Amino acid sequence: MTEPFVNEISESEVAPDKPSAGAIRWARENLFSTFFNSVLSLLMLALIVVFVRGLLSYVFAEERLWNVIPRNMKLYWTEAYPVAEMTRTWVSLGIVLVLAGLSLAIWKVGGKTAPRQFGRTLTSIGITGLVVALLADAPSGIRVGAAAVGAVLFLAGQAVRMMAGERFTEETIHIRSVLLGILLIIGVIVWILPIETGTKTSLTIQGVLLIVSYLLGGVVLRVVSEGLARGVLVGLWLLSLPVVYLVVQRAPVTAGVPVMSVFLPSAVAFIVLGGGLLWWMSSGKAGEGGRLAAGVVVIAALGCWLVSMPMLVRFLLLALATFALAAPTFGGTGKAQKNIVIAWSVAVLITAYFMVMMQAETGLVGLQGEFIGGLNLTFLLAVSGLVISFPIGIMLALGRTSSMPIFRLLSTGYIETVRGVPLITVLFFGNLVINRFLPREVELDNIVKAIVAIALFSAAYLAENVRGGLQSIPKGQYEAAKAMGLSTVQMTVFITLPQALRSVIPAIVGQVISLFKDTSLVAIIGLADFLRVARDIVPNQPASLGSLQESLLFAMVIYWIFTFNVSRASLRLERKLGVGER
Amino acid sequence: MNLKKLMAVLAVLALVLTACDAGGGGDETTPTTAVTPDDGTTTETTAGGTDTGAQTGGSLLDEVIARGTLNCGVNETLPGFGSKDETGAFVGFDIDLCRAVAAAVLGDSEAVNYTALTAAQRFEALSSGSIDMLSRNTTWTQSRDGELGVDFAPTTYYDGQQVMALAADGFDSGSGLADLAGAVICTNAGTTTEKNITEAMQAAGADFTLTTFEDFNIVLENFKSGACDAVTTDGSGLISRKSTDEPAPGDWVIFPAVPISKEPLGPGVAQGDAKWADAVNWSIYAMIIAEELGVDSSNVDAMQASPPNGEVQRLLGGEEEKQTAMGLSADAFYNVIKQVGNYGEVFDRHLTVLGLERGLNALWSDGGLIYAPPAR
Repeated sequence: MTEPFVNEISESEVAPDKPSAGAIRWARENLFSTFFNSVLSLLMLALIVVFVRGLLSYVFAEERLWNVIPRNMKLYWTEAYPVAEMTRTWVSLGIVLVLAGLSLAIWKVGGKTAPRQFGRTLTSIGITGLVVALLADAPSGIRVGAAAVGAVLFLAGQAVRMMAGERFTEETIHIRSVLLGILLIIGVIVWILPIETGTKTSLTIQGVLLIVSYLLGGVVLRVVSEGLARGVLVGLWLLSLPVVYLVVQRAPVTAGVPVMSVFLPSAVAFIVLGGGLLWWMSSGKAGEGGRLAAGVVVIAALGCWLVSMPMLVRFLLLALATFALAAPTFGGTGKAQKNIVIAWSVAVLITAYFMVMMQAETGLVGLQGEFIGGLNLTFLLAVSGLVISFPIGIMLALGRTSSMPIFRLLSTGYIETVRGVPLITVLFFGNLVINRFLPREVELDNIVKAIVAIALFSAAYLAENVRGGLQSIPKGQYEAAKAMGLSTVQMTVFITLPQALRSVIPAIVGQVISLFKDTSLVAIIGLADFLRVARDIVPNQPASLGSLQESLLFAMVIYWIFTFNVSRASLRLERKLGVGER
Repeated sequence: MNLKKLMAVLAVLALVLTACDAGGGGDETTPTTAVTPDDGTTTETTAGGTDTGAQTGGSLLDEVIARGTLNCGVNETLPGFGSKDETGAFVGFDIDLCRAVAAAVLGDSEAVNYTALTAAQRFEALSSGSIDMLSRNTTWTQSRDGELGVDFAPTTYYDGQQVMALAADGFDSGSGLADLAGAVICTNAGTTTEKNITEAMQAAGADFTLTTFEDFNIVLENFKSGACDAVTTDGSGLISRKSTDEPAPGDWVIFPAVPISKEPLGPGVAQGDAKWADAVNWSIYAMIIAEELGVDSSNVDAMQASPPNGEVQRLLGGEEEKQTAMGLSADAFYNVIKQVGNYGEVFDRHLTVLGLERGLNALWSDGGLIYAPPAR
């Protein structure tokens, strides 16, 4: 029988019920369908009530010193960063928010939602507020406030649902307008809270920046193509890391750096000569000569670390080696050649600029040692560690699956060694030893050493995740790529690696989350990260004695907010890329 | 084809040559780590560790004056003695001792570069020369003085280990260690308090269970929750926690009246630099003498203008002053009192507010142990 399956539910059954009736019916069908089910539901409900009540009465107990947290916000945020220089941390946040706003617009994040759905969300938030008011063993002021807010949200949610009724089941509400509303409400709350006017103003400016850059993103999309905008934005995100580091740790001055006599000539020489070399190598006609040239560049790039030479040249030669190795893969057409040369010029200029910045005097007055701490440091460590570990991890994974024994041996050895030791030891070791591997004139500060240690550690784990993805790709993919006449590098870059990375997103996100939390271990090498501020510094202030629990709970909530959002974002990414579906 | 190969190799060679040329040009730049404080003085945070006076023959005093800042090793986790305020700046009794030395030696109590140290790091930091002075609630002991190469400045706080328990469990200020038989006593790990309480309880012939936690905040949380019957640490720590955390006055009692250990706390400097040690010692003596003479930060200007007696006159840099002979400026101690205050002021500012009483730390003339040689 091949009778087509037809959903024979009549119109009256799909039509939305009255909200209250719906809730009761839903409960009857799902929670109290059988006797056994009902008993379980009641039991669980009782457990939930006990737990929530306990938690709420803990949070709202009179002896809780919650005022410690807003008072020490500056410590949590930046630790001992000089107060006079706080603008720099706001600038760095502004850079991130502008990029975030542009990204939201250019990736068209957040579609639309149906009014009914929106109403339901409002209602459930309202019910949460009412539950808090009912169960919390809190001062009556808080209970009344929670009840009022809860009731307003509940009624608003119900009103939206009623008005939406049957007519607006289609998705008509932009998520972005909801987000804008939330942003505005936060803005109002910020201005009501008893915090410094300077902080209020700064926060408001940040909010405005976010909105303006979002609007700007829309304008950009109308002018340039989506692909170009996205490509440039990814580049800007990568650039923002060192820029943020330099903004908070250094001053944009070039005093004492030979810009005109060394940096500019070197950069120009590299752009012209390197650009010519790359143009020729990516033409597809270089053949054996191209490989020979690439080999010479690689040897020069590595060898120049052994002799005395400006750091700029060392880094530029390293970059040239990378480009030279990649050129034959991405080259071919005239347009591709032009792109490679443009990318090379941009890379040279950026490298030269950062080298100037790194060698300039800081111009900053630190209270002591490292300038930055708190949540800012935690982010700096986690994000830089992740970004740096990504290419290294992929290289290691490719090395381990390579057919060349020397690469396989080295990669396997590295991965197994690093995975076999605790992160704490790697941090200690990096802190004490990294400088010995560098030329004598280079002295890394503790933050950079910690970033390097975290990145090297994380790369080993990432390599194993990526290797899992590479091995899950059907053999047919490799064979098909070979049959198309692709070189091994082209096959890896265009065929296997993208598929491998897509299939291991959940594993990589798990690693990102644990990396974010593991950064708290840097406390043992003397860096004051967020957790150390929350655990050691704030509860030992004479004015904050006895606030250990509050401070730790605050730290937990902050860690949770960020990791939760990371995992939500990865879920969206998985849905978009169809992980597990194809 | 060959021509192209040649071209490629030439291009690479040209690049390498540019590189070598730039390298040979003598423009090798080293990352500078100079910090310029806003008061105009210049700090150099030398990475390789500064030379101690003993190594170069010169005194650390001259080096500190030339450098323009004092490197001081401190604690950031001991309320009242060394912690960080809301802006991240160091505050506390021990911090003010660093500030006093900076005021005496450099004329500016803010010219201090603080390094937060753990108990394990502190002596290494002092002997390696990365700090000029250690002011981190350090007990003066024979082994530290003799073996670890620390020269102790005068004791600035006489402390002693005590025990705190609940009045509801039948303890009062007259209780002794023997009353703790069978109790769970908690303290923070890795300090001499563990050893002291074990020895003292053995001497008292009482069995007990010792539980240690990583830091004292956690010890106290366990005491509050009832997991510990009693907690033990230095008396100053117990009193300050009692004054802030006690649920109701009188719930917690501290005993025995005579502490189970002697903990004379004071700053220290590296051994073998008498000139520097004298500068540190007399900065502290000056604070004590000032309290004896009734000179404080509010009346120091008037006292300097019309000194009531010869000692005040000498102390504040008037005729017959002895400071220049030590390598300090004549008004060194005036700066200490003006910018930091006398001993009593510093004590009140950081410790009295935490509920600590002067007790043993009263001036000798008031029955305490705080005593300074005369300034003459």
